[in-house]
Amino acid sequence: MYRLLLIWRYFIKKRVALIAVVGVMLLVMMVIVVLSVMSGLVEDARRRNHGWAGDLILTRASLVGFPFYDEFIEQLRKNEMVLEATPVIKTFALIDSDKSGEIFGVRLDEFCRVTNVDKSFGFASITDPPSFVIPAQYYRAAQAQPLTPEQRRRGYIAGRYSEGHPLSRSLGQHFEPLPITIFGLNSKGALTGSQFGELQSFYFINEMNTGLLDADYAILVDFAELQKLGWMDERENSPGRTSEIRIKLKEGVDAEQARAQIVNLWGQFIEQKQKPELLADVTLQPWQLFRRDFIAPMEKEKDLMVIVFCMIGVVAVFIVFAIFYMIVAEKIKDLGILKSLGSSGWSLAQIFLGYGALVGIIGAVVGTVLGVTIVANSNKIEDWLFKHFKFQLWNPEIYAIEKIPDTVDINQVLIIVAVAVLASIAGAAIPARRAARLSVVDALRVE
Amino acid sequence: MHKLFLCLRYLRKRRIAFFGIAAVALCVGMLIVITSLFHGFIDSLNKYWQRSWGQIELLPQYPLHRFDELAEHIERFEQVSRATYVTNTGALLYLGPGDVRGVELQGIDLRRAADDQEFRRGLLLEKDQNVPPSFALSAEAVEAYQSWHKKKFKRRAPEDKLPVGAIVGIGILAQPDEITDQYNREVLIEQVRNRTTPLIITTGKSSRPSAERAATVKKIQAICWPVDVIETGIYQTDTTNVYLPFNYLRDLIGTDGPDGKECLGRILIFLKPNVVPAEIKDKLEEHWRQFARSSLHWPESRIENARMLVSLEMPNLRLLTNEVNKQLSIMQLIIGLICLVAVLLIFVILLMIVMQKQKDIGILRAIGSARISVAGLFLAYGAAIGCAGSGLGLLLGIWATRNINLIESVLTKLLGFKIWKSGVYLFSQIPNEVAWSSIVWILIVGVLTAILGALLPAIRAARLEPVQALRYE
Repeated sequence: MYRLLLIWRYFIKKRVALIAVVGVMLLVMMVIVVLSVMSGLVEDARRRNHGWAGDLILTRASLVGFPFYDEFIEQLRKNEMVLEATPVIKTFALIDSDKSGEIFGVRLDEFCRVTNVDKSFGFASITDPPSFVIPAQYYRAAQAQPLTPEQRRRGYIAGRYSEGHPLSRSLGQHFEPLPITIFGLNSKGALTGSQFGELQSFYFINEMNTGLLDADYAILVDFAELQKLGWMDERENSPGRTSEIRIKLKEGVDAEQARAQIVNLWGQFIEQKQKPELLADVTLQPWQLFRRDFIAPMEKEKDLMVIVFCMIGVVAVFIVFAIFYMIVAEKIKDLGILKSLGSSGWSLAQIFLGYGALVGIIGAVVGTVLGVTIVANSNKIEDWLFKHFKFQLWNPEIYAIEKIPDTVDINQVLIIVAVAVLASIAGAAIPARRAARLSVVDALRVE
Repeated sequence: MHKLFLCLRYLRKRRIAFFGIAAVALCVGMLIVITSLFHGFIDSLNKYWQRSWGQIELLPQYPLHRFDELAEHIERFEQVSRATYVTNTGALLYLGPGDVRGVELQGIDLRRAADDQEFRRGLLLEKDQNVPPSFALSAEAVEAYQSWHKKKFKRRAPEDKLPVGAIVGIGILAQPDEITDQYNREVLIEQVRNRTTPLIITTGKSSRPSAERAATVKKIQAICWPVDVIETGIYQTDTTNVYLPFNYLRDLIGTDGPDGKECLGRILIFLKPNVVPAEIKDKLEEHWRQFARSSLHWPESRIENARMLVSLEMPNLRLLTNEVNKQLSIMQLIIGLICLVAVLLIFVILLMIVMQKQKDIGILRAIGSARISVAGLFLAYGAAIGCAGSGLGLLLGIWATRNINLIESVLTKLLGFKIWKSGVYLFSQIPNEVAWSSIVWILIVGVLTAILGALLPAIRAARLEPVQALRYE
C-alpha cells in the first residue's frame, strides 16, 4: 500500500516529473498527428485504386490480349459471388499527330458498375445508363454537317491531364474531333492492318478526375470501337480479344474465397478450349496486386515515418531516465529508511517502475487528447492558417485529395499509447535498479 | 578561469551529459540530412531542367530548316558556351510481338548532344570509347536487318533504305529489378548487340487547319534500329525518350519549305560559367533577331512571335520548387518540435547536476562568486553540450548525407524493399550534396537548444543561498 502512496506523493510533489509528462505528451501528440495524416493518405490512395480497378482482374501482360472473354464473362455472371464483370482493352495511342498516351476501351455502363469511375466524371452523364454515344443534337461540329451514326458512337472521356482534354471545359461547344492512332496487332502480336497504325477520330463527351496519375492521363473510348481499331475484334479464324476482365464482387463476399473459386473456374474454362496457348500467362490478380506500383510507395513512406519516430522515442526514454535518476538520488535517505524498515529491493524498484508508468500514462493520455483534437480539426486549422498567414499547407492539386485526412485509427492510437507507457517504464528501469540495489549503510550515512 | 575548469570537469565526470549531447547531435544530424535531401532534390530538378531546356531556351515558333546554322550563330555570341537543337514528337513504338509503347521521339544533333557529359556517360555501349558516339549501324546490325528484310520481303533491302540508328531510353527496353530498382545492363547490351528485328515507329503529321478544312492527321511510319541504350537516371527521360538523328526526324515529320523540309524545334543555349541568364537574355534575343532578319528573311511579325525563356524561371519549375520547399518547411517544423523535446532533456539533466552539486555551488558562492558567474557556469555548460552535440551532429549529418545511397542500399537489404524508386522520385540516385548554405543556422539552432535548456537550471543555481546549500541536516 505504501508503494501506491509514495508513487502518488512523488508525482504530486516533484514538479520536475511534469517535464517528463510534457515530453511524453509532445511525442505522442506528434506521432498521432503524423501517422493519422499519413494513414489517411494511404487509405485514400487504396480506396481510389480499388475504385478504379474493381475487385479482381484477369489480365495478360502482353498487349495482344486473350480471346473467349464473353463466354467466360457469362460464366462469371452466373456465379453467385460476382456482381459484374466487364472486358477492358488497354493499349497505347498516338493522340492527335504528336502526343502519345494510354487509352482504354470499355463498355461504359458495365465499367461504371465494376469501378466507380462515374463518380469522378466532370459533367453529369448525358445518357442514362452512361455510354459513349453522342446524342444527335448534342454535338455542334464546326462543319455544318451533323455527325453520322457511326461517328456518334465515338465519344471519348478524357482524363483530367490527358492530351485529349480540351482546354476549354464547357460542354456542347464545338470541339475539334480528336484523331487517335493505335497499332493493329494480330493474335501473335505482329503488326497487322495497314501496319502503319490505324487512325480514327473521336469526340469529347466528358472528363474524369480519378485522382490517380495514370488514369487521369488516359483516355476512355468504347470497347467495340477500340477493338475494331486495334484489330482485336473477331476476324476470320481469329476470335475477338480483350486485355483485361475486371470483376466486381457482391457486397460481403470473401475476396480470397472468390478468387480461389474464379481461378478454379478459369482452369476448367481453359481446358474446354482448343487453343490453350492463346490463354497462357493470363493471371487473376486481386486489386491490391494489380495496382501495387501505385500503392506501395505511399505505404513505404508511412513505414519510414514510423522508423523515424521510433528513433525519437528513444529521446523520451532518456528524459524519463534522467528525471528518475535525479529523484532516486534526491530521495536516497527515504529509500534507505524504507529499506532499513524491511522493504525488499524489488518493492522499492516497483515504486519507480510504477512512477514511470504513471508518467507515461498521463503523458500519453493528454498527448492523445491533443493529437486527436488537432487531427479532427486539421482542416479548420489549415483554413485558419490560410486566412491569416496566406500559408496553404495543403495543396489539393498535389495530394489529389481535397481535405486533410481527419480520421484517427483507434488501434493505432492504442499501440502508440502502449509504446509510450512502455518507453516510460523502460526509462525508469535503470533508476529503479539503482534504488533496489541501494545499501542501507551508504544511504543513511551522515558525512 | 575556474568556470571553464568546472565546465570541462562536469562534462567529463557527468556521463549523463552525453545523453544531452546525443540528443542535440540527433536533431542537428536529422536537420542537416533532411535539409540537404530537399535542397539536393531541388538542385537535381534545376539541373535536369537546364539539361532538357538549356539555361536559355529559344523557341522560333515557326518551322525552320537550318537549325545548325542558327545554333552556330548563337554560339558566336560571347557569353554562350554552346548551343544545341532539338525537335520532338510523340510516337508509337512497336518493339516486338505484343509490345507497343507510347514514346517521345527526340531529334538531336548527336555531336552537340554528346558535349553534355551526363548524356555521354549515360550511353551503355559507347561509353568507354574515345571516338564520338554515332547513329551509324554496325556491320552486324546491317546484316541482321538484311536477314530480317529477306525473311519478310524475300529480298535484300537496297543500301539507301537501311533503317536509321536510334538511341533508346533504357526503361523502354527493360524493366528495372523489382527490389534493387537497377537495370541489368550486361543482359541489355547483349540484347541490343544480338537484336534481330527492327523497331517500328508510327507518328503523325497534321496539316495546318484552314477556313474550309479542319486539320487532318497523316500517319508516318519509320523503321529504326537500336544502336545504343541510354540511362540518364531520370525516370521520365529513361522510360519515354527515343533519340534519332535530327535531320532524319526533321525530314520525317517536317513540312516542305524553300530549303527543304522544315520543322518546329528548340534551341537549347548553355552559357559560360558565372553568366547570369536573365542579364544577357535581352542581348541574346537581339542577336537572334539579327539572324532571323538577315539569314532567314523573316517578317517582323513572325520574329515577334518567337520566344526566349530562361529555364529556371519557367512557371512549372517554380510551382514544383515551391511545393518541395513547403514540404521542407513542414519537415523542419516537425524536427523543430523534436528539438523542443531535446530542450526538455537538457533542462532535466542540468537540473539534476545543479541539485547534486548544491554543496559545490554553496562553497563557490561562500568564497565570493557572484550569482551571475554561477549562472554563467551552467549556461556555459549548456553551451558546451550544444557545441559538442552540434559538432557531432554536423559530422553525423555530413556523413549520412554523403553516404545516403549506401545507407539506402543497406536499408533495402534489411527491409527487403527499395525505399527510393526512380519511378516515384524522378531520379534514380538520391541527392547526396550537403546543403552548406543552411548549415550555419542549423548549428545555431543546435547550440541555442542547449542554452535554452540550461537557462532555468542556471537561474535556479544562481538563486541558491550559501547558507541553505551548506547547512547540515
